[in-house]
Amino acid sequence: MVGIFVRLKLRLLANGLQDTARLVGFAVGAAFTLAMTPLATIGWLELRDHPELAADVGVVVFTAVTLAWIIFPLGLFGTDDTLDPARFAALPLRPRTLVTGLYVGAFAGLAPLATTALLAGSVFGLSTGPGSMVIALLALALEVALCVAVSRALASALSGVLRSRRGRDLAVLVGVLIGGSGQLVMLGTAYVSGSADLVHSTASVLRWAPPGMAAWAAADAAAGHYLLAIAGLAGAALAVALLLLWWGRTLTGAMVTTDASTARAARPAGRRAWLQRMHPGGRAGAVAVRELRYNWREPRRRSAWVAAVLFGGIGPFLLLRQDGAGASGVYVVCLTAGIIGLQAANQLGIDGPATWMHVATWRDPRDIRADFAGRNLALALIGAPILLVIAVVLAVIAGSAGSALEPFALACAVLGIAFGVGNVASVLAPFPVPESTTNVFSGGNTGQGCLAGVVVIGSLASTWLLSLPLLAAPLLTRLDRPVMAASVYLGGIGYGLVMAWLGRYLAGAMVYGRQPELLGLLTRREAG
Amino acid sequence: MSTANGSNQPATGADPDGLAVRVRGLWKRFGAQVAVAGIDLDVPAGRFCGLVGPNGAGKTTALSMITGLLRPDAGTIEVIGRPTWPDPAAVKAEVGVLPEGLRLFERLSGLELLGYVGRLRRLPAAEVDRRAVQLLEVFDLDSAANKLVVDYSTGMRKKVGLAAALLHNPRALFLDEPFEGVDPISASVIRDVLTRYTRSGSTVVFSSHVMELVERLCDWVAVMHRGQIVAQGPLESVQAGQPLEQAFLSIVGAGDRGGDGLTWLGSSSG
Repeated sequence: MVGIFVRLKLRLLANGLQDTARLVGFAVGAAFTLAMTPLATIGWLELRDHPELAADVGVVVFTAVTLAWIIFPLGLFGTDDTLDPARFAALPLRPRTLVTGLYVGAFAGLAPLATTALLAGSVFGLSTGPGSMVIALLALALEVALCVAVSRALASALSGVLRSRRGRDLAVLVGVLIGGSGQLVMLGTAYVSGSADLVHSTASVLRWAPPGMAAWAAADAAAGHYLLAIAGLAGAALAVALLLLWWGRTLTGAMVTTDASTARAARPAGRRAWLQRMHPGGRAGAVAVRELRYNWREPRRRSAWVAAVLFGGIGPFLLLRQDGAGASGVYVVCLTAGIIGLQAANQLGIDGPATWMHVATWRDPRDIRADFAGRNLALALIGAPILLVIAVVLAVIAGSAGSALEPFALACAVLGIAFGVGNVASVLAPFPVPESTTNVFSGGNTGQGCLAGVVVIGSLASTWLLSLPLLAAPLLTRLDRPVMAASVYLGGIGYGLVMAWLGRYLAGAMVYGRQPELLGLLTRREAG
Repeated sequence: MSTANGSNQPATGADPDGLAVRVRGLWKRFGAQVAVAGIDLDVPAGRFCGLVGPNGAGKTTALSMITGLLRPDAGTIEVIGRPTWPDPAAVKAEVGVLPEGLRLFERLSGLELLGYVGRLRRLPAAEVDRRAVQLLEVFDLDSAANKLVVDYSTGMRKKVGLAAALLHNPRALFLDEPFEGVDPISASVIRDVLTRYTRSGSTVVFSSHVMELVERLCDWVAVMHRGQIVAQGPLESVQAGQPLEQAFLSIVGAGDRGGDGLTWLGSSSG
């Protein structure tokens, strides 16, 4: 039975690689593993001469790898969908058979292989002789077993939550927050890196968790404490067994329960009456209101904003701190504006196939321009206040709250330019963004990451290029004439508005004659 | 010049022959695969027309081209006397569409969705809100009016999609598998609304692979098979005195392949 699962997994992997995008993803992953394995192994071998440090590093690395196995599949990528237990629900399999088969099948894949390869050096790094090498080998095997077990068991346990729409919405947001906070942690560790004390104090806590137990067991064996080493290995093995047991229980549960959250009653209408009342007239107004609703209600857009604020907002603070440039440092808010403006780079793709509802009502290019005006307006209504807050906070940090206004004006100009660029990019290279996935097992890989990257980088570059004239503004205002300064900044904003309008104009002209082709692009691969 | 919110004029004014849909020599290829292979199709105005055929016959492709959402490789299409191509804007203003897959703006409530579609079609706001409330009531969705469409069931989605297609009172309605996955109660509601709609002289063209349904609802039938229209006309003439399914099978010449080889299947086998 186990053999069938492994063969199935391998067959699905091989069939999946016939898809070019998946093949590229697989090749990149494999190349990364091949490149990193020698480096990791050299690192492990270096540790051989420092047994105490080796034990601490082993504990920290084993724990970090296990955490990565917990976080990455759930938060960011989704695990592979090849062994989704729901697909076996109709087959007469006992949970025990199913868990064993799915578990062993889960080892056939790039990720477990890469983990093993990157940690393989620990067999030498954490050992001193043949005896301790055997223990280190067992520790490595248990670590990989633990990683796969914890990732699978958690996915199964959370699939109940993630099967509901609200749960999925939440998961997308959590994923971005995890990604963002990971960024912060990396920045934080960069400040304190190189401190062996920190590694030691962290390891002294982590060694009591199962991955740490495995690593510590190898170190114990290297020091000659074989009984302690075997106890550590037993602890890690127990953890694997308990995880599998838990997995079996949640698996049976997950296969026979279903999502009940959609049965929930409708929300009272009164709460959103203000939005109805301020419903502006015309097509652009309708689109703007709908976009505002979508930016709040749709997890992909909500998380895009969270990501933009995390990366676009925190970056400038760090720049400002390192730079110490004083009041002129507040101008880094313009960088944030460029990043926030990226929300406009795929305005049609984010609606995906639903765009047909717009296309079905386009009567002339003016309708398309009105759509973009509405979308731009909604983004500006959210983005501009964020920029204002960031500018003020930066100014306060720099020591003069009054110095926020001019950078904010320029940031608004950059935002306008980014919208103009984004409007053109949206019709030139629209790519559908998959809905939040239906369950944890289906990955979000649509094979369009490459196109998305080109669009993002191209949009950013074009925005900066078109923003170059704005550099004149701070220089001109050095002339110290208040009237001149005000008009320069108003002129900057005007320039941004013209750029946004120009982008809308071009977008309307470009897309009107090729509506079916646009729809074709947006419905392509929508299933994800 | 009639606009999107034009009232119900008899459609015969637009086309000399009183045709709501006139298709000549329509082709569409996807790579090596021919989806629609040179079809001619006539649908008289005021008819309830069923476009039937098995899965993959080219029904969706044909409907997409007729309603201006997919560019044909060759052929001419006229809907309500106006050419769909090269510029489909005029036709799109006159017709209502329920496309396959039904991708709606799902993060709006039913009421918000209809309000949005109405405003996109430039109907007066007060009129949109009035029609939206009425449509939701007729489709038995009033209790779900403030629920997000993403939380609707399949039947409710079809109904709200149909309501969105009807909102601007189109002169012709094109529905791709409107009854697919719909429960009997919702289906009967949809049926009633559509029947009432055609009685006033408007045209409905819908695709389906369920022959019994087409037989019960339609007075005009076009049968598609492998990208071609193999029969079309009034229901009785296509039926030729037998049930539509029989007629279809004899038209396409499908043999009786009902499981000659499966001698082991069933309780009485050894």
